[in-house]
Amino acid sequence: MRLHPILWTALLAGSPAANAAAISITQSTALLDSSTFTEGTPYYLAFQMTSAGNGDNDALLSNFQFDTGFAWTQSVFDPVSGLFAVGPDPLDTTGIGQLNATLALQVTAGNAYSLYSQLITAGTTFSFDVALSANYTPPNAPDAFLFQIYDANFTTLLYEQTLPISAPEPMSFLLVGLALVLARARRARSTPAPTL
Amino acid sequence: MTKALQTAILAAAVLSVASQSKAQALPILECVEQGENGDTYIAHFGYFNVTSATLDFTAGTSLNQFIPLPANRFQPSSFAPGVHRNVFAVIAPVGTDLTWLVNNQAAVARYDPQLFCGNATVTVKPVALLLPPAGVWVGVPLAIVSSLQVPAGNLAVESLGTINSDGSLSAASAGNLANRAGIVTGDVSASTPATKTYSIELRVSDATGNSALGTVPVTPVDCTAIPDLSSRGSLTQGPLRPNVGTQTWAQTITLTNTSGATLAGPVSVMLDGLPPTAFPANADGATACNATAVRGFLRMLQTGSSLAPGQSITATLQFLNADTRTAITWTPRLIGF
Repeated sequence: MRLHPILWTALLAGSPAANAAAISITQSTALLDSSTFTEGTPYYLAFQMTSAGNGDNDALLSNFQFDTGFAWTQSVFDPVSGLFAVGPDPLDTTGIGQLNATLALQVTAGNAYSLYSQLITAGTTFSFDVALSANYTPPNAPDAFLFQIYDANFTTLLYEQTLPISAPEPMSFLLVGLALVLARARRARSTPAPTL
Repeated sequence: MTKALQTAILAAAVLSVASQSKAQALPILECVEQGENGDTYIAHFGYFNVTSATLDFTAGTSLNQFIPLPANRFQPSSFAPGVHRNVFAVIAPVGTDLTWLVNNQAAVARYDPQLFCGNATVTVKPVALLLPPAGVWVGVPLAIVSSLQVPAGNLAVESLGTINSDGSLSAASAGNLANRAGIVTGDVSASTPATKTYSIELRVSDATGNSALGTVPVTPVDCTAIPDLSSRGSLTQGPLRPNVGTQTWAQTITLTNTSGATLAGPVSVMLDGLPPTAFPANADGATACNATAVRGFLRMLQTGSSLAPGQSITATLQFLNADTRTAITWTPRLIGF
């Protein structure tokens, strides 16, 4: 059932981000059906967080780059669940296609799963940055952020990347952060694609 | 987290409520199936009224119409609150898309194998009946049934029951199983469970009327004779990976032999403490042995297989999850079965 959430809980105040990554899909990215990410093809993007009982965790996504592609206007048929927020203008129906878009997902003790999805038409690349909080209690399974790509009917999983929540490791975090800064600097030269 | 972001989240929640109110009634395409003559297909529709009141949209009008014509294809004009599955069906020619518009919300049917109605299935697993040596046991797990059709709704279990002529297995429970899967339980009387084999026939139907008959062999095993191998190995759980399309949750688990000796199969991992809203659809068995709740288990090492010291093996659990508010958590226990 495709329901929008009516639950809301305040995000963790001041929780330090321990994991950061830049996710990039290109025309050479192999998909699970043996095809490749193809410009002009509609795909469903699914951004999810799952909880394995480690307390509150959140993912903050930013710097969405569609290249020659674009995001479709949000529909009531786009599956969503749990706690999420699209910014900076939550009333903008272009969702993650809006200028300087952000997406926050959260799992809590009373919400073990959050999902935001939106249909896009692929450009030559699609990328975004993600920063994760760091609540993890071994030996539980880790909470995780998942980025998935489905076909336009939302029936076939085509791509999956999982970023498990882990305890912060300061040195590795600094290295990833440096990589993010460099990636953003490189992308700054490209022009954001218009959205529908 | 900044106050601005918190405000944004609250605003998004308000937006969500507003968009639901505006949508009011959503038409739902359940699935399609091939027509009798091969030139047509049958589309099954339902609807979701998101309000708490009955809504009226007269069939055939611009607020409740089919495209292409005729606009009235005997769809309902009155929409009761909540989700209503498989309300009516429409026959259309193969190659023609059929759109049902309700108050500007659309559900589109087309002849596409990905939209075919699936079949209910009875999962025939070597369900182990782990029991004390002898006696009468009530409500023990007998079979795992599931349907991975999307959407499937509840599974109705009917005409199940006994099977052994000596009456040592009494009628198993019937009824609806939520969450597309569940454990069928029954009462068992046995004097020597380790040597008795039962055979249970089940007929399972899903919400779209598909049904399937399955025969499940059940071999009771004396649970007091099954060794606990938890000290011989460790089991790590990977993150949960939902598949939005199939509505299943995958989790990779890794068993490592942490002892100094070879770990010989059979070895299964018991999922202790799993919330009742989650169910391992690919479990190899279930038991209520030494516990008040029925638990599923997955065979990691078959008889004849082994793990050398330090060696690991992975497997994937497939969960069906009825409540996304509750985390799928469980504690592993290794048993020699």
